[in-house]
Amino acid sequence: MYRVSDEQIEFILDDIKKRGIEMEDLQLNLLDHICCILERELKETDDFNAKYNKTIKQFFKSELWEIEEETVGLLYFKNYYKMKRFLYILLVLSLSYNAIVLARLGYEFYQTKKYQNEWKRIEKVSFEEGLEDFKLKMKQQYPEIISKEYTYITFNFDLYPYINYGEMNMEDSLIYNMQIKTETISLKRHDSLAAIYRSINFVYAYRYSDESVDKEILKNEALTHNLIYVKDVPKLLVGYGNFKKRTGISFPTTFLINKSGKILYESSVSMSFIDKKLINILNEIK
Amino acid sequence: MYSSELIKGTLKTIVLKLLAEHKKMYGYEITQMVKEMTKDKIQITEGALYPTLHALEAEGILITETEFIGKRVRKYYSLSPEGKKLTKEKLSEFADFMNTMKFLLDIKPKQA
Repeated sequence: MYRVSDEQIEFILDDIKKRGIEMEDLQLNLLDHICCILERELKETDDFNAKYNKTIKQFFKSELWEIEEETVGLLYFKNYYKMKRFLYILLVLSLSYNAIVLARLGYEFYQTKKYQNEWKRIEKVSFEEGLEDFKLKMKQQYPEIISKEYTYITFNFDLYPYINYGEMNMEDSLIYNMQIKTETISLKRHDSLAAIYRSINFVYAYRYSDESVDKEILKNEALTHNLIYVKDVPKLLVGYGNFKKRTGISFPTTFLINKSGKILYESSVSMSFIDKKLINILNEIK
Repeated sequence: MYSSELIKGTLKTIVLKLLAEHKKMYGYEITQMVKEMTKDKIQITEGALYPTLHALEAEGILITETEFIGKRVRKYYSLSPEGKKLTKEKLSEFADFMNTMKFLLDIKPKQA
């Protein structure tokens, strides 16, 4: 019986490795298998190399590494399908989440549009009208709106209390005639603007009949045009606040704030540190 | 000699059955035994056998032990307790499958 020598074993193992078999277990299996065939079929007088080359070829169709490829395929077959199923579930969850987010965004967009339309109706109040005219017009033209519980927001600034904000229903606000300084202090206070926004039923942009502010608004019509009245939405989409120039220590400031709390516009006469304070607070609601 | 498609689907069962009867075998031995038992009708290729053996080992169906033959190593395969249980199931399933196929292939031409 032919005996494969140590040198030949080394040669075969080396060749197996060269042919792309990297798994040690598989290398040893193939080595033993080839040796078994050679020892069974080879005669002492036969040419080892010729017989080896013929033998190795029966192990594959194109390349020897196909065996390892097949082995790896089988080894990870189960895991492959587990992974595939996991990825599929992940994909479904991800798509579902995206669909929910898109639906919500779509709904919010729809709501915004809806209230924008409503704003356009109210917007007809012109800047030339005074507060009393505005009150009257609102009551006559929009009794259903004015009779509801409305809240307004205004931002009032002076050097002492940096920011005073309050909420009151529209009727009250009209009665108080927007004497911001005194009224807001006596009204309910909140820890943050976000807290106010959550409790808001209706927000409207309000103005004083202060001529300088009106001019300011008219001058920046491109921005003020974006003001939106929001009804029955528990957060401020767009708000507008201003206050009247007062005697004493206070500064007329006009702000235009979008739904993320970003100031779109502010009048240039306010003190910068107050603006910063406002920006910080508005950042809370982003 | 049967086609490789037919053998591929039955290879696992063949290996399990042989190991159930012979306790432990190495790769070359398995191929030779199948060849002899079937009078060359079934020839298991190395390219199909070793991937199957490695997969069965990884699944815990087969256990292995090694033996040095001079400078080379021989790997013997045998059934684990789980493998023995699986062999019974596989044989039973295959017997049932054969009956079904026999019925199916015998009946079909008659129906046509």
